[in-house]
Amino acid sequence: MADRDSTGGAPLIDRRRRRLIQAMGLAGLGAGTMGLWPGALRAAADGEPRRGGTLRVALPSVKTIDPLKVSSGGGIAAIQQVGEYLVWAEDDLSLRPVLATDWQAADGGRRWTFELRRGVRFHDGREMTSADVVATFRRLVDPDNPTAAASQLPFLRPEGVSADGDYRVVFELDQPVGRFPYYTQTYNAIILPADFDGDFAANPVGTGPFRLVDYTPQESVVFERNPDYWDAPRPYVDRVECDIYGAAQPQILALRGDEVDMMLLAGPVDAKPLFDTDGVEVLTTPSAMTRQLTMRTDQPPFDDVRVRRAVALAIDRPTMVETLLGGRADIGNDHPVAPIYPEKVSVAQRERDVAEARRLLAEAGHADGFEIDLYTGRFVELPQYAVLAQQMLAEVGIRVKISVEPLNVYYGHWTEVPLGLTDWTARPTAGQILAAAFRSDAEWNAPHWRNDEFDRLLDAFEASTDEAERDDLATRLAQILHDEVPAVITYFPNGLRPVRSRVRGVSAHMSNYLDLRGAWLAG
Amino acid sequence: MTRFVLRRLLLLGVTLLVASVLIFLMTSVMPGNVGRIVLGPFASDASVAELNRQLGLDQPAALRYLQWLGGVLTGDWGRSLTLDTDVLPLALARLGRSLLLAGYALVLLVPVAIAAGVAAGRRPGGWFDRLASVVGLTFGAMPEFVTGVFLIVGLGVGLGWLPVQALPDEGAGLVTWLRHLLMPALSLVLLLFAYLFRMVRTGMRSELAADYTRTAVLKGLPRRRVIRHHVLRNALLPTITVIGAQLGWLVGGLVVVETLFRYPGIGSLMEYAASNKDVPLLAGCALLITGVFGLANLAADVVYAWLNPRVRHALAGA
Amino acid sequence: MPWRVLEPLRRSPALAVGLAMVAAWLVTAAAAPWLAPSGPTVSDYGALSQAPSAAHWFGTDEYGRDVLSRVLFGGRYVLLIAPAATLIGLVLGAAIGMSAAYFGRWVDEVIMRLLDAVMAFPIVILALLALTMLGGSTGNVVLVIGLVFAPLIARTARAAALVEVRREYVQAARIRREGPLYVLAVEVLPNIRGPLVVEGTIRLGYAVFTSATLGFLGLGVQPPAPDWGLMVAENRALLTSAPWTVLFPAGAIAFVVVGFSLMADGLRDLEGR
Repeated sequence: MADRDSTGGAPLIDRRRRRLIQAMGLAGLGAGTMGLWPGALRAAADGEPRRGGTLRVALPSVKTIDPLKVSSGGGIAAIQQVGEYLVWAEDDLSLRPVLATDWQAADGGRRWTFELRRGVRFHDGREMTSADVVATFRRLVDPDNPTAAASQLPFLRPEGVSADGDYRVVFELDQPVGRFPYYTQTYNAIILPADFDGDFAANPVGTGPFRLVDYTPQESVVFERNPDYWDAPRPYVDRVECDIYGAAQPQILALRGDEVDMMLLAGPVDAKPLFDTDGVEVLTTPSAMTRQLTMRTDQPPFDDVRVRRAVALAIDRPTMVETLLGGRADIGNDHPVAPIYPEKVSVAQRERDVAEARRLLAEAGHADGFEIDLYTGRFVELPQYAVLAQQMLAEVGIRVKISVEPLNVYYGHWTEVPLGLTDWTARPTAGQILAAAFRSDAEWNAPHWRNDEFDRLLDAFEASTDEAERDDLATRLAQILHDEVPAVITYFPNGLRPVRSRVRGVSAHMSNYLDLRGAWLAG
Repeated sequence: MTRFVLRRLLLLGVTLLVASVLIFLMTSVMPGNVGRIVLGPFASDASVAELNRQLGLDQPAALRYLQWLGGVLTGDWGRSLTLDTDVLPLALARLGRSLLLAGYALVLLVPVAIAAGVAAGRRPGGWFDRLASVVGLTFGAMPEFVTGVFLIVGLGVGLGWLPVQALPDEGAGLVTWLRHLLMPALSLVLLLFAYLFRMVRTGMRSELAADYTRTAVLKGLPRRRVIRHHVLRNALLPTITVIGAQLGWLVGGLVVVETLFRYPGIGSLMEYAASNKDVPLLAGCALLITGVFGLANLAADVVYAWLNPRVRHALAGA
Repeated sequence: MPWRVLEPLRRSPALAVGLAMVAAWLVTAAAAPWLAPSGPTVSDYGALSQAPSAAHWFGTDEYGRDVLSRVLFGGRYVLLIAPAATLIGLVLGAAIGMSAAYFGRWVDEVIMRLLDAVMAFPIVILALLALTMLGGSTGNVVLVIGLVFAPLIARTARAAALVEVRREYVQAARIRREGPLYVLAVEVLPNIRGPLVVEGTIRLGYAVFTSATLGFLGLGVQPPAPDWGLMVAENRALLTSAPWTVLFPAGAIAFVVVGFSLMADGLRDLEGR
């Protein structure tokens, strides 16, 4: 992993890493070494990468692979082989320069300048220049282009992106954003040629380590090594064959039957039989993924903060983590600032307290409890989470009726339901998830929760580049959420990636992104 | 005969038309929003609305239907809403796969079921009759996903004899194909065996009991010869119709097996289209399946009529 | 006369065995709240993925749910869904089939074309469309299976009724200027009861089969409901490490379907005599 130390990161990363290393009991090994994560550790012990071979990957559902529209986990993983972002957030959230080599903030984080890597060629042989980067980002924030990226970059307008010479791009933002480089890794934002015609499946051109040679919808995506990749000698494998699956169970059977070498991801429950399968390893990484149990704060009974606190107090977090995830998660404290983020948050951990919950409910006029509908999607452990919550809430007198719906149906009304259980994917910065889920005017503020103090602090947090100040602001934001409880956040599940033992140079990823440039196959 | 076939083809056309109307009707009241399904839960409402507009989904269902119908009649089956591809080539490729699997299953099923049925029908109540009936009944009662799961875990993961995925790598030879498809085909065979077996057995029994057979035997013809020359032909005739019906049913009913074994056929594609509200894809698949079903039945009827002089003469006049 | 009721059972052992198999499930499903050691979705946090033991006869699944309890309660879904769906199918199918036979001509033609169009769809796809439209709840599964079965039953009803409507007694009723509803319900229906009962019993088995398949595909009742098909789907990757989570629900499905098939066989034999 010696060649990975080209991090363009800040000192905060080192502090963050030390803390993580200590937390994992690896301090003795860790001092000064890079990226000490289970996957990385293993890779470091593997010795020299071997060239050649075909890596077979099981992908979950792939819908469109149009980079502008893509949103399915498998689709995102597919375009990440063909195209690259300006930067890549590593497992420990340090930033690796990819197509950008350096970046600088000015004007208090309102103006960002990115230096581009020189000599990078698209798969069609043309050199990547600032014109391509500018066109890519303009495309993403153009209101005429339907893409999920627009809502990830709300502070960027098409005219805010400009070129300064062939190898420098300037972003002028509507507001200061201290962690802006992370936002450029929004999953849609792979850099495409300026003249991209909108049909990626027919004409898949990027700068990535692999070229797409065959795409059969709902069946397979096949890649071949890009011999002209800028980061030689990578990539190591000659070919990547991705098989597309509809469900997790057949993927697990295929992995056990040695018909694929790795899965993109596995839910904690699905992965259980793999932990003791010979020849299979489950790579693990802490993540900022959350499950949010959101309560409509603008209507009874959850318009009373005492009721919301009672719900939070009724939940037995350690039991949830043990039963649902086999212990593979960090315990949550009703705010989304996961331990993996560099910001150090100190908020007292909420423990289960049935008596206190009952007292609060009685105080709020619900001495006999009440009935409520809980909606959730049929996805990983969510249905059984709902049942455990039902059991736990029954003990404080809240009678829950569960509605488990197909995901497509649930996502049709998840911001409207009185009590909803939603899975949130991991964002590389705490500001992104705080803003997306809890800012007063946010489209995905499912609890319909308004708090001006929170909004003000969040603006300051998003703009800030001072680490001590960020810790302080994050703590205050988390404390508000912890006290107000618009959503119960019970845990942050680990990201899991099952691989056959011969697969090297691959690690799990908190957002389930797929980086195969360093992947190789041991003999 | 020609008029009979023409009339049936015309009726098939009507059926297809009705089926396509049904699809558009049903999908237009289905909940869920294609723009949202494609862009994911965290795209803004504005983006979702824009995508729906670009896909033409803001237009009334009736208009979309007419446009689609016009396209189909001129050979343009439209483009999938959620996958980056045209409907027709994708659906045709998948249909081909499903037909291959269904054909394989029939090749395994038909001789075995007929042989077993004939043997059982010759000695009703004998040990073979009872054994085959019980085995057939048991597997016929077990949904294919149950037998499939047992096959996968037993022969695939456990013993490692057969691959657990139905689709071999590109460029695989015939033997590899057959090996990969064996488990899915077997689970279909086990499911369908009982039905066909019983048809043949019943046919045998009634033909053996028929007057002409008794007469033939009484005339002193060897029983074996009577069976081979007279009974079999008459006993198997109805089976042809059954196989025709089964073929259509097989192709359509493959959803479960295809899902279980990750075999990209038309059944699983249709399931994908329905659960993702991909109307052009769904309608295209439905059209193909309905067409195959109708043609298979028609073919079976024609063969039946051709083999059965009585019907042939009746149809000649029709 | 009790022994007269039992007479068919004596004449057809298949009917007797099938009936006994189904009745056993009816009893256990009805008594599930008393028989089952725990609720169907209750997690025993201390006992995740336990092999069958004295405490959990059928073992527990990954969430610590008692498999025996889930299988027992699961029987309630199946034994409610199958008869209710079959009844809906019978009523609808009989009405459609008899009308087609009675009115004949273009009414018959239109009805049969429509039925052909509907039947051209694979049952699973039809159910998938309808259930996506309505949402997967027990009531909707019943309704959808009933609707899907109606065309099949309508064919049988039509075939049987075609014979009857040409009979003299029907002609006589028509001459008496009785309304179609009266003729069909009072004159024709009792005379095609036999084929309908046999068809209904066959459909019962298929209804169990279909509801299990819908559960397996995730289209029926949603988790955490203890639906047998759903249990097989959720646990199928555990068949080597925790086989009890798959074998018991799968066995239960097969048991009930075989029970219904035996019943149908027995009835068909009796009808045929």
